[in-house]
Amino acid sequence: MSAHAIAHEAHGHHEHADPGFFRKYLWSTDHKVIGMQYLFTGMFMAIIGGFTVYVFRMQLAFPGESVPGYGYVNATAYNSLITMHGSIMVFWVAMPVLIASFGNFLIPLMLGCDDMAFPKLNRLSYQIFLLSALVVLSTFFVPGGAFGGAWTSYPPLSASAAYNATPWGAPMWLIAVILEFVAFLLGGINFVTTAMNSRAPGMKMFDVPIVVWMIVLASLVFMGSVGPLVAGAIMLLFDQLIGTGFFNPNTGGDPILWQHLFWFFGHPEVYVVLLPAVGIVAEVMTVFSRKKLFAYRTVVYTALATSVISFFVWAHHQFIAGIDPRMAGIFTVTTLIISVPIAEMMFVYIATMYGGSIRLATPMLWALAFIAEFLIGGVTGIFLGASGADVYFHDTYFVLAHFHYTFFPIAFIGTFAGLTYWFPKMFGRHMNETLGKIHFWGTVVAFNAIFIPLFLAGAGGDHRRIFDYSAFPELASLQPLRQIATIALLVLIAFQPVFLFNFFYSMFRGKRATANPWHANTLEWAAPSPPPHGNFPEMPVVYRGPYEYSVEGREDDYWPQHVPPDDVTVDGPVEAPVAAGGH
Amino acid sequence: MHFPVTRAPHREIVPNSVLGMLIFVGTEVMFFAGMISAFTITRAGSLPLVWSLPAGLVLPAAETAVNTVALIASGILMFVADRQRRAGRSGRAAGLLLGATVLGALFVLLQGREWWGLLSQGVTMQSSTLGAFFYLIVGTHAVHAVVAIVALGVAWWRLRQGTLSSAFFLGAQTFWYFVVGIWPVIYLRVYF
Amino acid sequence: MTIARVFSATLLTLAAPGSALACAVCGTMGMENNSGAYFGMTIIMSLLPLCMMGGVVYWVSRRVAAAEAASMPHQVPAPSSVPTPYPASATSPDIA
Repeated sequence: MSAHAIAHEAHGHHEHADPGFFRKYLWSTDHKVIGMQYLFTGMFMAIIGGFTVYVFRMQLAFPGESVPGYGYVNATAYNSLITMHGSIMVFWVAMPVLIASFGNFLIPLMLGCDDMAFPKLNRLSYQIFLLSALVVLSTFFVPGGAFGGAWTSYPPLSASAAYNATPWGAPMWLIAVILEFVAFLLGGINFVTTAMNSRAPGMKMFDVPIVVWMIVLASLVFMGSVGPLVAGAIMLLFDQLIGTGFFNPNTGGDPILWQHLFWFFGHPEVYVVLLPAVGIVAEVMTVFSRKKLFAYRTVVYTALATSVISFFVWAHHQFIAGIDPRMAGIFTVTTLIISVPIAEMMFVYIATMYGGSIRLATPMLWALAFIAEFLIGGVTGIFLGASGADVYFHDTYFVLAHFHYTFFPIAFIGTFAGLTYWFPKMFGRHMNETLGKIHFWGTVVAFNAIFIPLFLAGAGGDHRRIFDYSAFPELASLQPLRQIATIALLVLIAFQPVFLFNFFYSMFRGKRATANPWHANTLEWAAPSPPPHGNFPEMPVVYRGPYEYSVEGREDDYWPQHVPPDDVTVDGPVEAPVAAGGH
Repeated sequence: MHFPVTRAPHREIVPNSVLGMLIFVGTEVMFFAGMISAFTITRAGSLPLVWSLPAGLVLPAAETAVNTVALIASGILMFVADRQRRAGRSGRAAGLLLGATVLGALFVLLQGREWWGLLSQGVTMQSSTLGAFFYLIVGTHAVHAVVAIVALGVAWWRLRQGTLSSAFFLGAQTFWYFVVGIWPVIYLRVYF
Repeated sequence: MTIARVFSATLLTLAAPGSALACAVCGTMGMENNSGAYFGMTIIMSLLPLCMMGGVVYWVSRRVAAAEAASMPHQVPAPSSVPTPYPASATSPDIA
């Protein structure tokens, strides 16, 4: 493969012979390889997560019939499938792909350095993550099957095998989750330290591309919020394994407590994955609008505000769980407040596009779809954030549809925008535009066709977590909506092989890409495509912010960060002011 | 094709090891805060009889005060050792560092003896929720203390060999201050 | 007068939800304690990470200011005719 050829040539001194497959791909400390490891692991897990949703949606639409490729679904298997779908998609797809994969690949490249601050810690991070993925996958094959207590794992259902019927799956799931968080903790330490200490000369804080800001802020939010959940997970593990009573009211425990510990992390988690996606969209938006990002500093400050407020909203998940209603009032207010900075970012992106010369390439289509779909997710969240309305909507398909209207744009639309945009940098080749657009329209239209019916079903009172609705004749009129959603899901799944084919075919046979095919400004496009080991043949120096597009009086409509100003020679830009100060 | 090799940018405003360790410690503080808040909430909400230790036992707060003093003294020795090392007196620093390590180990041993006593009186994780929280929180702290003591021992060995890097020492030091600093909070919250 | 009425009405509205408080696991004795503990812990847990991060950011920015002051004690601002504002920082660490 050409990538490796270039990598080897660029390495200059060949102190090592061919390191062999395992050494190269399992023991590499190169941030790009680690980013790719996270990406491919995440893609694999997405296929598993997609298969589980296929099985249980088929059961819901056509209850009691054998699902092709799986067989009959019983109630325990149904519980395991929805639990695995939720936890795999959130913890093993969205987080590794959006934060770990893009973070690892982009941060050193965009900051103009050769690797992360702690490369070995970075490798350890992926290895622990891989272990956690293997643990969670292996629960499909243990006695009792995979964990069946829903991805939120509320006790007492999750605390006792007598209730969840998965004696092995439950503790293994918790162990996998804890391992996964340790992996991301190590990764996050790397991201923040690298962004702090390894920026290219001349790159000030407000010359850092938005996506790097977002990943760093997301890492900080993650690390500030994950501790209580790990504490809760250890307590729950003790409850499951040695019979302590932390969450058992009979021995003085408190089951609501788990919900607080879980959602103290669980809600910031939404912003942990949202912020990188928003950052990816910012990069794509400016490049394909050929316009400076509208109000760069405002975006940074609103992202900061989002990160801060995200610590104050979690209890809106417990409005009807028996928390103090006065506290619910406070959390209603904070929940509605957090929509303000997010809305502000959306307006900023629309303002960025205004008057630009927009190119509707595949990445841009994904970025636009992100804004449109995420807005629907955000607006429907208002109803759920109000504690009064939530009494009605709680635990219906309305919640589920709202959640998916936020997470699908984040985890898939945002990822597709990023992947199609950085693919030439990652693999040195272009993806096919026609296939990309077919995949885009198939995915986005089908996605809406799945969840708009589920909004309607939820508003009609369709409860979640029910394995077979034929036992509820009063909800029978909603069956057509469930069937529409399932058929749309089949369409959505049918379009994903288009992407996979395009991805893997283009990786080897796509049109070769130049170093800067999109005419973008940020530093990763200063490196060759794909970047060699060590990233830059010559370490770049930064002269300006990342979004100088269509600057007046310039021939090109872009002005890369590392290109010296026209009237300064390449050799002496760094010393210029010092010399000037000398006389 | 041979590219000119240039040095990667690196400006350690705050040393990598300190910044990384600070972020890690922040996460750890939240981890302990989660457990302590769980303890506080559960204690506030539960009825006295189902919560407390069996048969009128209480946690040995007075004996643990001695352990607490040993741990805090260890933290102070660590601080002085760092001062001495910065002043270039690494022989004296090594002595102080050894003192800090030994006092830390003493803390863990005394805690272990205390656990032994409690276990022999029938206080287990299953016997009551207070007991469960006690072993959970104090045990987690002890695990952290043991890891930190190993790191301090390594630092002491390397300091004597003259191979101690500042990065390692600063990282280990930050972590030890965390272990020492979080203990009084745990002590005052859990034992009383 | 209007302000006073609005204010007292708001206070009443805030107090009203208290009567809806229900705790599934605590006895009547523990209910108020439990609710108070949740309140207190909510405040502490929300502010703790932000305070820690704020502290670290403050400390780091102090270090940056100190490092900048130490690294270029005789720095004279570049004349405005030299169009290179950015590289001035290339030799010194910065954080905005």
